[in-house]
Amino acid sequence: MRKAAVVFVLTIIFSAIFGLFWYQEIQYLLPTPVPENYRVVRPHEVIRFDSVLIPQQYARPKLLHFFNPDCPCSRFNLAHFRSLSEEYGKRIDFYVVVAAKKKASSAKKLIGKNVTIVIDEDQKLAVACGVYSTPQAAIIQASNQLYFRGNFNRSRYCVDKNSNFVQMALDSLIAGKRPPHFIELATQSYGCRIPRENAIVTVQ
Amino acid sequence: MKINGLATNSQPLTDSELGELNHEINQNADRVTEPLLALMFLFGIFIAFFYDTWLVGFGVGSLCLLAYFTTKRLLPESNLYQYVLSAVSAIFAAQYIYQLHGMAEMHFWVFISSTILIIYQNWKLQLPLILIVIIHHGTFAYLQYIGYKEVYFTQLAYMDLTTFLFHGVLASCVCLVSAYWGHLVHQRTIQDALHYKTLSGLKSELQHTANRMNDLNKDLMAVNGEIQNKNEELKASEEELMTSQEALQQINANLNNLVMQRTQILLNQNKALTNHAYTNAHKVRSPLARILGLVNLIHQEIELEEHGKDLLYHLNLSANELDDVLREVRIELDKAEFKE
Repeated sequence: MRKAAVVFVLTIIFSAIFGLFWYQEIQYLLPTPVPENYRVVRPHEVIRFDSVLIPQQYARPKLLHFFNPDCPCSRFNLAHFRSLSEEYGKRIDFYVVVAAKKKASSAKKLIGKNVTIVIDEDQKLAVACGVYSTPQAAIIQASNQLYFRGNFNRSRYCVDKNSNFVQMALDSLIAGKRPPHFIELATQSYGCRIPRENAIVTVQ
Repeated sequence: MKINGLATNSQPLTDSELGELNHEINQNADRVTEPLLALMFLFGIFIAFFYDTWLVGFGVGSLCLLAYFTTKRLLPESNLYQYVLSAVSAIFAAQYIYQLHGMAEMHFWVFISSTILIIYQNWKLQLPLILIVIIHHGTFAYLQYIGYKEVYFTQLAYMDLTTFLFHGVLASCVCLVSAYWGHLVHQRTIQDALHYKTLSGLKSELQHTANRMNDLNKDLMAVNGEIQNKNEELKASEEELMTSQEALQQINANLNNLVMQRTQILLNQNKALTNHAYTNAHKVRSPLARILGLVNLIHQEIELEEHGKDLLYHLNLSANELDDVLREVRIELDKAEFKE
């Protein structure tokens, strides 16, 4: 009887441990499900965004970092993002985009004061850039054309220097080259889903 | 077996003795591992500060502790909780790797756990640890190597097949060595317990013998006491005897003196009597000689009638008898005198 109880309790505990790991990590191993009505935004496509959210200017390219402070994956690459913003901040405008107002303060704490936090409650920016998961980056050229949309690295923790996709794209952009062609892992969306219930989708 | 050249009949450990031995090993091991388990939990909380991994730090850590202590509480006699400890050690290692964003050094926790488990002296405890590591790595590696690229697996910069194989083989080697040490230490512990049992047996035998010797000694002392008492008694008797002997000797000496005195008196008396008898015999001889002379004169000179002759004859006969008697007396007296 006690053995059965132990087996029962252990099953529950180990399931709970697996559940926690699933909730925090394993579920993000697979690509984020593609939302309905998703429209792929390809490089060179002009991004139409609300200038209330991001000031309109044609002088410098922008990097939008779609960020969710509650998403473990977003925290995995914080250090990498900070190093990018420090390295390229003088030539490129960095924005951190959060999906809700309540996440702004915690995002500010994690990201730091040097990067502007943009609250994209209607997911206008996410939809415009074709982003539906965090963490993802969208690099927009000064001409408002999309240059790159995808992952920072093929590794969750950005430890694979050969797959620093965003960094390579930024280097390429600064060098005035065409957007590089990356493998599927660069653009396949992983991580936490951005809820699109309130999304305003503009069908073109 | 032989100890110090003495052959002893060492018995193998019984099931209950083995059980008691294992119970003692487990108790000692628990005293070490349980604080370590608590430290592992605290380490998870500590590293949660780096990337705010509080949910996993508290959640997984608490569940691991709960799994261990619940199993131990519900099945205290079983060693299942040790296998749970082995499993949660692997989970803690995975937790730390997750919390520090795949930091390769966190893999060392698997090795630390493997060495900690040696303390239970049970090689099988390495199995849950290494199996979880192998299954965890193997599953994702398999998915990756069969070309399932959708899995966002790689946490390390390079994890090609060679690296993976080295990774797995070396980790398994650590567990294998730890398992072997655990087994070896257990064998040694059993051997030590066997020696201890034999020595205890010998000690109790010695104690028993010493007790017997003690009893014998007491008996001997009692006998010795008795002998001493008897000896004293004998000595007393001997003294008494000596006193008696002295008294007897004294008496004897007195008696001798008395006898000698008496003998001397008797001798004196005898001598006096002999002298007296001798004198008397001589004195009687003279008248007798005269009587015999007279008889002879009567016979020769006087003519007697028949009756007178007859009387003279008897007179002469009696006088001769008396003469013979006196002669015999003299001879006897002479003999007695000679003897003196």
